[in-house]
Amino acid sequence: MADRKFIFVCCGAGKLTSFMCAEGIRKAFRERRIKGVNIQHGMMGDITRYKDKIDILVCSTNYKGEHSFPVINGISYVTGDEAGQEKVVVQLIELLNG
Amino acid sequence: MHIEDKLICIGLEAADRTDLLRQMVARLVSGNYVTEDFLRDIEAREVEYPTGLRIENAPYAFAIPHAHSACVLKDGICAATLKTPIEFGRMDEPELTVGASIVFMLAAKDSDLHLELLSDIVKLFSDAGFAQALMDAKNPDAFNRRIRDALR
Repeated sequence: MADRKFIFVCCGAGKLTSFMCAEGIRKAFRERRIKGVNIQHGMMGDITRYKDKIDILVCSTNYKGEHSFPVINGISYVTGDEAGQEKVVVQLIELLNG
Repeated sequence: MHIEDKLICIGLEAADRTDLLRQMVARLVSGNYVTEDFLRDIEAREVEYPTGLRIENAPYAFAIPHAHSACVLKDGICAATLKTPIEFGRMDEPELTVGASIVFMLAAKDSDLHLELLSDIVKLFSDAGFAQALMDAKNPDAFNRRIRDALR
């Protein structure tokens, strides 16, 4: 399972908004029958710990850090902006396939 | 799953954000949900990652102060509707602020139960009528009933 992709979803406390965002992405992936992706939520502070494992980073709060992996803003999962959520999912799928 | 009556503050008055957070933490402390140091963690987190948010079309903005904290003894949510809005940094644009009228403070240890409840509540804010219904609640019982009705 070496090629199992890892999406890390983070927010400041690693609690509420990253949870909402990760749940939303999991649901979207289930609906599209996308498998083999590990989606975890946690704190901004955990980014360093996982940095060698992360394929895509989704931040549910405003985050401006620069990394070797792509960073996507997932605030739409907190604001309930469905068009924004769709954009996040499309972007994720493109990155996973790319 | 509901918010304990003692942890719902209707028409709360606070001088500023710090005063508001202090009052809400005090409720959680008296219910043995957190220790007093929880305030320090909540404040630090609020400065670094603000939690105020206005959802498009919603008549009132809200804030969801919470923190990853060793000071949490058991899971709980403290809720408040405010007499006058209190300025919080915006979650989506941290340099800007928003006057929040409804505040949910989350004390979460390890269970996802309250997390799910609060994330469901946040999702409800996209419905313009929901924030108004919460602001109109005259007592904790009505406040809980409105959440329950909306989640049904």
